Amino acid sequence: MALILYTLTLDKIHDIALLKLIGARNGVIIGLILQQALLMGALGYGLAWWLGQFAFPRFPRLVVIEAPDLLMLGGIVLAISVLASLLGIWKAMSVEPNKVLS
Amino acid sequence: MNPNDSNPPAVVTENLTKVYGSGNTEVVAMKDVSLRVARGEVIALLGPSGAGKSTLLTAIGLINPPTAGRIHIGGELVMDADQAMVDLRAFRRRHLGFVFQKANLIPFLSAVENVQVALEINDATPRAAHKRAMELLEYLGVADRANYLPDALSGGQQQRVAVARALANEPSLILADEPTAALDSHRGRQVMQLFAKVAHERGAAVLVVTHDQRSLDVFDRTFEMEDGNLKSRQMPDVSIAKDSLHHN
Repeated sequence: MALILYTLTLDKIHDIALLKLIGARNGVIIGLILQQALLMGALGYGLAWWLGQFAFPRFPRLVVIEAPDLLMLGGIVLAISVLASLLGIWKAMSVEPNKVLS
Repeated sequence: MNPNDSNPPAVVTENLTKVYGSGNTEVVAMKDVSLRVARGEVIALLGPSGAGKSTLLTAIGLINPPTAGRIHIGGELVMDADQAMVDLRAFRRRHLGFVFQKANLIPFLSAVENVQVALEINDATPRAAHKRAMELLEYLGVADRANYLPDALSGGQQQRVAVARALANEPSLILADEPTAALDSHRGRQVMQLFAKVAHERGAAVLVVTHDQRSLDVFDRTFEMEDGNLKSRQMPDVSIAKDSLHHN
């Protein structure tokens, strides 16, 4: 996930440099990357939950996932999403606004 | 500079120098460039490639700090050699507009959203930003293309949207680097006339780096850079203002 986010950030590095050039605060840029990371995390979480509805009944042993487990998994996904975005955020923070001119 | 001046020039540079590298690899890109541009003026900056035009423009744009010299914008000292005297990003956001050779629009945002971005990062609400962005697109004659993605716009339309974005926060200074290089002569002239209109109607100073000699009549003053030195091309009394700066 970190690699995907990093690649997506690299794809948009010119636009990020442009945002910096026209004066966007770091918070705005970090927010954009975090938003993307959380959206990916939420999509993955939702997809896994949906697939689980079909897959778990076919398992040889009973799998019981209750609300507290879902909550904990949600927390883990949230933490992974935030951690995965750090590399992309670091890259975005290090780009210079004059990169727009290159 | 007189801090009490109620109508200070849009930009004043004092002895700007930019040196890249050091020792045997040292290149002096800009030497003692002093320039004064009043509000509402449209200035052309000509010269061959490597003459230092873009170095001067990016220094004034606060994205390429000079090695020596000072930059005042709107009467405020913003750069003293390579030391920033203000929060540069916030200053760019509020006081400067940029237009480049390529329009540099964000490809997945529509024309109006590209203009809105500049407003929203300056704390405008989405509704107010949309209204203002539409007004600007209307002013620049591309309101009918507001909801189109940049790829669906012609080069001239994209550049108009870029000008609208540059105008979004009512900057006191607009910096344009070869804004017509990717356009045919007719559209190039239209963009240059647009800058003149913006400067004269809205009071923003516009500094344009260009190779296009065909539209020079649009400009109030023309300067030429060669080997890092700035020379006035037309009027001897204009402000390559070392002397006047020193008197002030």
